Formats: sequence, C-alpha cells, structure tokens
Amino acid sequence: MIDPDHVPPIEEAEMLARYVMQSGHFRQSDLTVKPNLFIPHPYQELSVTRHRDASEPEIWTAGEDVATQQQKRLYGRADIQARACIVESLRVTAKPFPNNPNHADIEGWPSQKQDQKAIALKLADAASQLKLPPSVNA
Amino acid sequence: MTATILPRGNTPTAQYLDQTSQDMGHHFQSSATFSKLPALNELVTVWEECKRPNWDGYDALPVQSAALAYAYLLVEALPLGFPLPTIGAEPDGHLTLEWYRHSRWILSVSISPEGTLYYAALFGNSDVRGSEPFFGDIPKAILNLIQRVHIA
Repeated sequence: MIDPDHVPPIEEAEMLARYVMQSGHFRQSDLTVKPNLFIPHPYQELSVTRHRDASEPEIWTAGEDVATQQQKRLYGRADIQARACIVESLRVTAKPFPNNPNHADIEGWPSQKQDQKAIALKLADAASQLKLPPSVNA
Repeated sequence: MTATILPRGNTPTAQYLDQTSQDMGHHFQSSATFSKLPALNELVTVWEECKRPNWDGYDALPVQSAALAYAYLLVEALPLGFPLPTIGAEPDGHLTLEWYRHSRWILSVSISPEGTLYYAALFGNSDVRGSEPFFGDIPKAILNLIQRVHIA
C-alpha cells in the first residue's frame, strides 16, 4: 500500500477500485456494473481505493474491511482508470484513511440529479466488469 | 388508470355492447398487468432489499414506499409493446428503471418519493438528460428515449 507519510497525488493513468456491496449494482447477465454504483449521495464525493503500490490481496483486503465494517457482503469490485473519472466537473483527490492510505474521493459532483446520472452512466461505461473476490473464485 | 366507458343507451343491443366493452377492457387491463409482472415483481424485490438505511454499504438512504408507489404506476403506464425495464435503487432513496442495450446505449430513469422523474441516457458519445413531473402518464420525452434505446 502507499506509504501513509508520503501519499502522492493521483495520476491519470492510475486504476481505482469501487467496491460493490449491493446485488443490484451489477447485471447478473454479463457482470457489467450499473450506473447506480456511481451516484455519490448522501455525500458530495464518491469513495474509491487506489491500486497504486497495492497488491491484489491488499486491494481485496481494503474492500473486505469496508464490507465487514458496514456488515455487508462484498460482491466484488469494479476498476476504473482515474482519467475516465475526470469528466465534466469531476476530479479525483487522494483522501487517505488511517486504515487505508490508498483511499481517494471522486469529487466535484454537480448538484442536479440528472447531471449526476449522466456522469454516472459514463463512469459505468468506463468501468470494468465486476471482479469477484478471491473467496468466490477459489 | 382504467378507461370509463360511457353507456350507449338502454336498448338490449346497447347494453350488450356496453357489457362487452367492459369485459374486453378488463381483459386488456389484466393482460397488460400480467405482461408487466416480471418488472413489477422485481420492483417489490428491490424495494424489500433497499428499504433500510445503508443498504449499499455507503450510507444510502432507504427507499420510501412513496417512490415504490410512483414506480409501480410508471411501469403500469408503459404502453403495451414497450420493453420492460430492469429495476434498481440509488443511494438518495430513488428507485430506477433502466432500459439497457449495452453500456453506451442506455436509459436510466430515477423516481423520487415526490414523483419527479430524473433521466439520463447515453447514445454512443452523446447524452440526453432532464427531469419531468410524473402525473400518471409517462412523458413523451422518456417514451421516445425508451424507443431509441431499443431501435437499432
């Protein structure tokens, strides 16, 4: 994981993970993720985890920690390049947590719901298919 | 949303025609509802999953029964022959109806507990977005988008 004392700014080529903890956030038919996964409410930002300096097990551990804390099932994650998140008014900012130095926020969301939805459609299009946790693949 | 059929008169023929019209009306109404059952069932399932706070693990608001009622009416108001949506929920407590061909050819309509429809569609590199009040009939702009998603 990133050194908590030296958190670098996010580069456009970096990959980000958005964890999926609701079965309705992906399509069972083709494992593509739905735009709903990228609607930021109730906050003004959307939580993601940077891949940078993290191994695959560490990326999954960060997701499992969130799911455990929220008492939810971790269905998987969708990965998206930071460049694809810089759309309209959005930007990506490093926001390290004590237990996750790789945490980042997608910020700058418009206030109008229809504008949020239009952006969410673009993020879902740019995101990977749902990646299943290692425990499911095993 | 059932149509009222005005009586044609008191003659046996008029009464027969009235009764036949009523029967056919009920038949078409129940057929229409039946054909929408998959979407209506999914609607209830999603609502059951999302009616409590934090249903998404990111502090989502619960989906209120008012949003469910509006979404139900919206599905019911879909004209016969229109493709059915898949159902979802958003963290602000809205229900969503989605018409999807692929990730770049898609329409998503959110239904708020106040009965406002917020929509966005992606057609290749261009998008369409807007909002409309819902008074029981699906706005023409949204019907046009549903058709566009499913026309090659």
